[in-house]
Amino acid sequence: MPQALKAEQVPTHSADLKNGELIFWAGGCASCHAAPEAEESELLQLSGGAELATPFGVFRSPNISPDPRFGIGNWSMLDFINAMVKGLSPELEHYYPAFPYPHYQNITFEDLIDLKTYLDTLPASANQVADHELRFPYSFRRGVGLWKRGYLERNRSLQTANPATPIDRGRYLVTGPGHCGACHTPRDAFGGEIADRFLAGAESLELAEGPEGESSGNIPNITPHSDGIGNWSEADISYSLESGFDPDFDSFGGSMVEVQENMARLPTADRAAIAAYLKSIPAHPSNSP
Amino acid sequence: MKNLLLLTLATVALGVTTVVAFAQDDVPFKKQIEARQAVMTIYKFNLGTLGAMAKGEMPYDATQASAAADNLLAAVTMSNGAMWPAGSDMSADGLEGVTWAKAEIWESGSKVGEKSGDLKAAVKAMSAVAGDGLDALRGKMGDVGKGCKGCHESFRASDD
Repeated sequence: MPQALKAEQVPTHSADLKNGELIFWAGGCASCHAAPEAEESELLQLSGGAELATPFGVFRSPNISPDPRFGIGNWSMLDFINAMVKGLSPELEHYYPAFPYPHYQNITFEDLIDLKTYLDTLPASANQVADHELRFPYSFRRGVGLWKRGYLERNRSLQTANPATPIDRGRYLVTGPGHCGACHTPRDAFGGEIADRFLAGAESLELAEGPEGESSGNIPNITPHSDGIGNWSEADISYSLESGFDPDFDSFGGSMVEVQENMARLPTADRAAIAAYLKSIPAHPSNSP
Repeated sequence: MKNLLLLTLATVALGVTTVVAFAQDDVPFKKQIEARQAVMTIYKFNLGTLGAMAKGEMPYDATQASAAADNLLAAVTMSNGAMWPAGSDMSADGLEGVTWAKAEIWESGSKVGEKSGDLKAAVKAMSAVAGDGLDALRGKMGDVGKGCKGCHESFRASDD
């Protein structure tokens, strides 16, 4: 039976809406849950429906607006925390890790309370989203329970409620809401991230359009190796997250554009913290395909 | 015997000539692709000056900043249709690893014209104020970045 958290495990905390908004952008919620091509204020309408074509099949992001019938408006705080930390629905069904709860499990309860309170202030949407269309055997949702036994633990990182240093704060942002590893870390045959190759780059799980089912491309190595961003300074890294320019003034493209635009909304100190952390992690060469 | 030798040599020569001819056809639109990539290099070079000043890596200099911004404007407003012929996208035979331009650029309903317009407007705004001080320059970098990303997000594949 899945292990949901109980109400007594959730601390009392009076919500900080400003922080909730920060976690919202750091977590990239709008990038999956707003309509595709949404811009500016449309990013706050979390009506769902974006499709992610992967080797497992097509995932469709749900409506997480505060609509009580078609969104998550009738969820309790405990329901939200169980979703984000345990990957469990209010009915105790498993979520597919296309929803990156293996990373979100590292967000503190206080930050989750802030986030849900912020989400509740956003516009309601009555959009109804179709189910995922997954290949055999991934369509058996219960199988995710087995997957979690093997894989949920490996993404858990040290939670520091009050980070003492920029590197601590950067670790929190990268391994928690930022979920950078969900794209930048390569995965094994069962779709679990390979810890020894943390952020060393990967073939995208997002498929290109067309019938061949090819990956849409490679995602870069962002470790301090020469195959990665070893010759970027901390200032280069934080400026790239602010502006979308790399140190040679090539610009980010593809999926990284919306990530960068989310990061651009964080305080400067948070981008600097991410940069400090990325310079501190083990350097790995890129996989040769 | 001699005739057989000559015949063999002639056949080999014909084969070699044919192979060489195919090799030159392996990269269609080579000149156009090289030219447009060169234009991007010019963007990068001039952005480098503006960006170094914006990042505080180079002291601000009004004359240099203006010159770089004006160069960038000249480059982005250059008439460039001839460098982007239909069929020169990365899915074409022989173009894998040569260009990362996606076929979506040429599809009907493509927003490439609109995005190109946004880039031009952002660079125009930059060149109007680049010589007016560091704060003015910094203030326009964001929109220039957005202008570049507008196309790179939708139309350029990863080259990693």
